[in-house]
Amino acid sequence: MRISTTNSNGVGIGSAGERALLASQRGINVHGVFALSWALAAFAGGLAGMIYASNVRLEPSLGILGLRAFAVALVGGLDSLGGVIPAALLVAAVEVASVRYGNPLLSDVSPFLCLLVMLLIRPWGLFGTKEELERV
Amino acid sequence: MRARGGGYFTTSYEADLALVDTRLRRAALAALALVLLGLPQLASGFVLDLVSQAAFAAIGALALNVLTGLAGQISLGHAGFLAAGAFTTAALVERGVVSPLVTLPATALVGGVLGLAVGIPSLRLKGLYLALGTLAMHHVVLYAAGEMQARAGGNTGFTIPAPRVGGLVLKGTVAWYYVLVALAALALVLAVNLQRSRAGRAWMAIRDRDVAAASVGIDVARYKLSAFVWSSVVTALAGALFAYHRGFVSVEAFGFFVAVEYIAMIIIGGLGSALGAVLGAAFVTLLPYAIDALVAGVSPDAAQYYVFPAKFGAFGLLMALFLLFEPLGLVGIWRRVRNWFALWPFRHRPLRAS
Repeated sequence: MRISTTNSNGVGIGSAGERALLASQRGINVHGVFALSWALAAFAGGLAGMIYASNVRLEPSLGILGLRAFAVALVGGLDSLGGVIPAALLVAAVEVASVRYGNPLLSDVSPFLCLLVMLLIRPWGLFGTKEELERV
Repeated sequence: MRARGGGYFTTSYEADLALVDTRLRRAALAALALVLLGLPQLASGFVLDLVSQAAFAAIGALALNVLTGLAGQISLGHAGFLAAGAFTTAALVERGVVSPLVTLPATALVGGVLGLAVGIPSLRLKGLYLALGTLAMHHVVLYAAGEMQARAGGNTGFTIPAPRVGGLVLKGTVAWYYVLVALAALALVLAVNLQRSRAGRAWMAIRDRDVAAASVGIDVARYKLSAFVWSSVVTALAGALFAYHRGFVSVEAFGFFVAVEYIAMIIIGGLGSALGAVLGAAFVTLLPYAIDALVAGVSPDAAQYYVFPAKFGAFGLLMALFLLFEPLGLVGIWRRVRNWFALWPFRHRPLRAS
C-alpha cells in the first residue's frame, strides 16, 4: 500500500481526516478520499475475515473479532500505518501468553487490557504522533 | 394553551416550573396513566410482558441519554454497567443476602464506583479515545463476571429468587408490569427534572463546547464525573432489576450487541431528549416482535428461515436510515407532526413564541 505521509495522496488523506473543510478548500477531493479510505478499510477487513474464517468455524458472530482491531490500531498509534504490525504482534503475544500462563477466559479481554494500559500511559500509541491527540 | 401566533406567557413561578404545563397535556397524561393502569385488565400476558420489557429498556436508555445525549460523553460500555449491576446482585444472593433492601443500595454503590472509575479517564480522553476506553471497560467487566460465573462451579449462570420485602413477594407478570412501568415513570421524571436543572444545563454546555463551558464557570471535571456516576448508578440498578425480573443472570445476556442496542435506542429516539429515550426504547424493544409478526403474516412456512436475519438486517438498516434522514429521531418526527397541527394553516412558528 503506497499511502504514507511522504506521498501527496497520503498527505491529502491525513488533511481530509483532520479538518475536512480546510482540505476541501485546498483542492482535495474530500468525498473521494473518504470513499477511497472506506473502500481500502473494507477491502483489508474483508481479506482478514477470509483468512481468519478459513482457519475457524464460519459464523455470523465472527465479526466481534473486529473489535480487537481497535485495540491494535490504538496500541500502534492511530495515525501510524507502520505501527500496526508491531502492535498486532504485541497484542497477539499478550493474548497468547495470557491464555498459556493465565486463564483461557483472559483471551477475550487481554487486547482491551493492552488498550487500557496504552490509553493510560501513552494515549497516542507506540508510533503515533504526540501532537495530534485531542485531549481535554 | 399555546395560542396560534401568540406568545406563551406564564404569570407565576409555579406555572413556570410546572412539569406539565397545559390542560391538553394534563389530559393526555391522565389518559396515558389510565391506559397503563387498566392494561392488565384488557391485554394478554404477552402484551404486558412486551410493555414491561420496553419499560425496563427505557430506564437504561434514559440513563445512557444523560451521559451521551446531555453530557456528550460517548459510552460503548453501557452493557458493562448493566452486567456489573446484575452480577453484584447475583454475588450477594449467592452469599445469602437476598433482601432487595440490601442488594439494591449495594448495587447502586458498585455502579457509582465503577462510573467514577470510568469517568476519571474521561477527564483526559475525548471522542474516539473515550469510546474505546469504555469499550475496554465493558470487556473487563464482562471478564470479571465470566470469571465469577466459572468460579461458581461450571454453572451456566446464577438463579435469583423473586425479591421479597417483609411479607411482600414480587412475582408474576402483572406485578412486574406495574413495578417496571412505575420505575420507568420515576426515571423519566428524574431525567426531565435533571435536564432542566443546573446540572442538566451544565452537561449540555459541556457537550456543546467544554472550553466555553469552563469559561462561564462550570466545573467541567465535576459535572463530567457526575454524569458518569448518575448514568452508571441508574444503569446498575437497572441491571439488578434485570436479574430479579428474569430470575437468572448469565454473562451471555450482556454482550456488545446490548450496548449497541442502547445506543440505537437513544439515536432512533432522538439524542438528548428524555421523551426520545423512552420512544426509542419502546421502538427497539418492539421491533423484533413486529418483524416476527410481519414475516409470519407474509409467509408462514418460510418464517423460521427468514426471521433471524431479517431482525438483524432491519435493525441495522433502520438505524442507518434514521442517521441519514432523521437525525432528530422519533422525537423530531413527533415535534414536526405536533407543530403541523398546532400551526395549521401556517407552516412556521411565529418568531417570538418558543
